[in-house]
Amino acid sequence: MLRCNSCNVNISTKTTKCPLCQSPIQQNGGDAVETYPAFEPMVEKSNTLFKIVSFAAISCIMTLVTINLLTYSGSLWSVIAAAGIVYAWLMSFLTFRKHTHLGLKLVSHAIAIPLLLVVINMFSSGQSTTHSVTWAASYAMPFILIGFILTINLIMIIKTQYLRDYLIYQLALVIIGFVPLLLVLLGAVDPIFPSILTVGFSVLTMLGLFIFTKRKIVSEFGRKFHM
Amino acid sequence: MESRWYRLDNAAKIYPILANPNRSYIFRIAANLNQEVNPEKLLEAAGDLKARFPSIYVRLRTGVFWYYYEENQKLPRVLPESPYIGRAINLQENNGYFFTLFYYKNRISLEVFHSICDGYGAMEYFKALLFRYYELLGAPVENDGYILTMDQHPSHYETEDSFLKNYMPTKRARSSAKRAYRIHGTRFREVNGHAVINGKIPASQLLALAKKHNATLTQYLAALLTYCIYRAEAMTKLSNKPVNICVPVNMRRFFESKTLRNFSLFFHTSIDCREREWDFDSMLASVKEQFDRELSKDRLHQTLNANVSIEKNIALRSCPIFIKWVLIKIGCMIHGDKLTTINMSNIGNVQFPASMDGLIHDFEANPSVGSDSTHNIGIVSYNDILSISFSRKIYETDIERLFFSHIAREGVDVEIQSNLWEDYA
Repeated sequence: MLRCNSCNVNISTKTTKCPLCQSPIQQNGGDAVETYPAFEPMVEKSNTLFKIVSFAAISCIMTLVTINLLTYSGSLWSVIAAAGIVYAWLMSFLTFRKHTHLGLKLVSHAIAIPLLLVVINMFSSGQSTTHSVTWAASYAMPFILIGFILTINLIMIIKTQYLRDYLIYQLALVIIGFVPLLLVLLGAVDPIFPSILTVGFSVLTMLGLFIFTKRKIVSEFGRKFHM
Repeated sequence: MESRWYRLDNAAKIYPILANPNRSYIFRIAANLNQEVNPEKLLEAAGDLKARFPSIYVRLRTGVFWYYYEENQKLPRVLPESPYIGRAINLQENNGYFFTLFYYKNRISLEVFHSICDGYGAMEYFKALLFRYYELLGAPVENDGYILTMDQHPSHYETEDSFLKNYMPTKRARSSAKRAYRIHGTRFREVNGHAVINGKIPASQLLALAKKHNATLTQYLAALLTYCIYRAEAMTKLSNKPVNICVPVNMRRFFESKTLRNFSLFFHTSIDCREREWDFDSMLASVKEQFDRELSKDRLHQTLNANVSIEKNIALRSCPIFIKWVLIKIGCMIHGDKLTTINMSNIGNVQFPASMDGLIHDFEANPSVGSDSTHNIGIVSYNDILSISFSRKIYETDIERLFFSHIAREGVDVEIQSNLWEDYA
């Protein structure tokens, strides 16, 4: 034990000066020990990589757009490049974020990939009217959506203990699965069978969810929407 | 099997929105045992109590209108104590739990986010944990009614929202405290964690001292604290605002409740240094008078009603959570902790069965300190050792010095421990 005579207190922490008044202290019999773990400066997480990549992405896009505009000859090819860069930038950070739920990652990709393809389709080879959005909306989007809905279905079947965590994501995806129906009604796709297939698959998945997990869905909604 | 879920109680609702590394809303209680901690057994004990404390073993989920708690499937973490006491919990690293168990030499400490329980609930859990820990170590411990043990079934009353239960839409009143004086000092460069100065005092000696002044222990300490701030700080600055000590109150004292979740409110003692010259005795008289006035069931019930009525407001309830986020953040910026100079939580005397005598030396309690205050104080006693812990965010130790040397001058033995942040942080 140590003692500070000016504060009139005993000190049991091993130190050279009084923790209260900072003046020198006296030995007062017995041992003083470390009472708390030694201070270590905290290593700050650096997000330099994120900053560098973001800066590079923005400067690339600006350069490409400038070149495109200066040498404009009917094609807005830089939009495709820009969309690709934005996609790669957003999605790589989302995908490699350790703690984001896999369901959320899958849903984001299911939205982002068709969008990117639609942009590529719209702005490729000089065609720039919406009616030319053919392969992306007619084939790519429906099959990609089916792929993602199927993936989450399989995860829910294989990992039943985590089923509840995926429910909301799957419901979101199934609702997005109706976007192709909207495009069919707007006459924006040709042929229509992949889109119809996607809608059918979404309806079946939704039915399956309600039949097999009705109680879980009801209780999950009770939780998510309680006021 | 359906997992359980809980609405956040009235006090719990704002903490997840307001918490950040600067303002962690973590509090810590620690027990110094008489032998070195066995971390494996500690983890085993923590796992065993999962079914007994369903409202503590939870993870936070986001709903459309409010957050909610859901049963957590994973195991809680048991880690070596960090130098950063009261640091905000990183949920991902902590398996989604809002509490962490730490060990250091002979000490087990529990750091809890205020949203899942208050000091009473945390202490009940901590006692159960220590009891189970000693059971697993093979100590001949026996429960005589003080401990919640794992063979009992958790009662519905332990997980209820007692704020809501005792809400009456009639009388309501807000705290009349004025904007409080802030202690001045040089803040640590390190924003995580805080410095600790812990004074261990023979409880009987200090009680006798308080009794000599015709005051309760909490009244005496609140008055002494105000007096130390009054003496430490410059008169010119003090003349602007009153010194307000925020005293949390365990509402279970006034209302029938067994809840292990939040059920505490607080009141302020306020000393206006503009009014007159103060000495310690006149300050104590004023503090006593304020305790008598504020610490009544009726007053606290009115505060409870006022708090719950906000949550009941239909306009606020129907806002999606992200709008509530913004509203509560703005509300906190305007009102916030501005009414409090120092927070002084007295957890009280810890009771254990006689069969546990000689196993635990003493307890410590440390509230964390928010970004706009400088100090908070946690008080707990066991085994005739009263531990008064100052958590602080500034280098200066003048208030602690005045506080403990005043007690020592009154003839009470004081033993000081510190994590010595003034030398490093």
